[in-house]
Amino acid sequence: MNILNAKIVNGAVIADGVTVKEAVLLCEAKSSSEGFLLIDKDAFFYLTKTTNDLTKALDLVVNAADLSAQILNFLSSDITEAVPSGGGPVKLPAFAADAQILQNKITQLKQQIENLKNTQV
Amino acid sequence: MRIFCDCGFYKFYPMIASELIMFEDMIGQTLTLCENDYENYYTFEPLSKIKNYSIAGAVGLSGEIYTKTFSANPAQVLFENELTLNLETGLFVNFKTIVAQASLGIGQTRATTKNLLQAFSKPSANDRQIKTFGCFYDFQKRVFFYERLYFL
Repeated sequence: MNILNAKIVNGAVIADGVTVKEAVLLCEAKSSSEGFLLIDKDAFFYLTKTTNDLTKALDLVVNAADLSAQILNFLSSDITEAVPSGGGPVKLPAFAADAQILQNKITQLKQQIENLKNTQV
Repeated sequence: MRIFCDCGFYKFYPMIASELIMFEDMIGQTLTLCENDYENYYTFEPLSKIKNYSIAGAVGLSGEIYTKTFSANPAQVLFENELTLNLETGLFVNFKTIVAQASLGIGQTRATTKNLLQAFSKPSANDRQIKTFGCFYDFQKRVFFYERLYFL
């Protein structure tokens, strides 16, 4: 058996610079990807590398953790620090704007995760 | 010098180093050493570059186009793609296009030739092509003695 580096571009499996026709795909091939071509006598298969996608997914998890920390910090600073000893407004004037920024970041992160899920091959 | 030609893939096994030099002088070509886990042998330089896999549509050393995606040893890869080395031109060609006639002399016990047999040549027009053979070269008699001949 031979294992070659290969990739999928526009739905076509390419190895050694040649389009490999009729390769059996051991993945969904929804988009371009990097992977391996396995050739065993006259049977040949394409298998995607999952490590790249896994790295991206872990990056997003780290981003999500960072964002959670920012939210906690925001809640503690913008609300609790705004409460003066003698009473007054419970939030800073920037509260609405800061809340909107965090909401946008959450929406963006959610979209990135959705995109990654949809491009799994 | 022992020689084994497997589906057009020539392997030369010199008994001593001087045999290799004498043989190279005789054929006018330098042979390339190939080493793997199982054996060491010499072969023609173009054959030494044949990979142990092929991808249909790939272009080979002589501009030949591989027709099959296949993985095995180089001899089988060539055979599955219907390719062989033309000893005269040094190019890979479809083995069906080999028209050279094998000038086999029939000795007392073995078939012989003066020159190295072209793989996929025919003893005569009506015969099948010789796909695989084993032989040895007698430097004193300057003759190839054939021990085994397998036809396509």
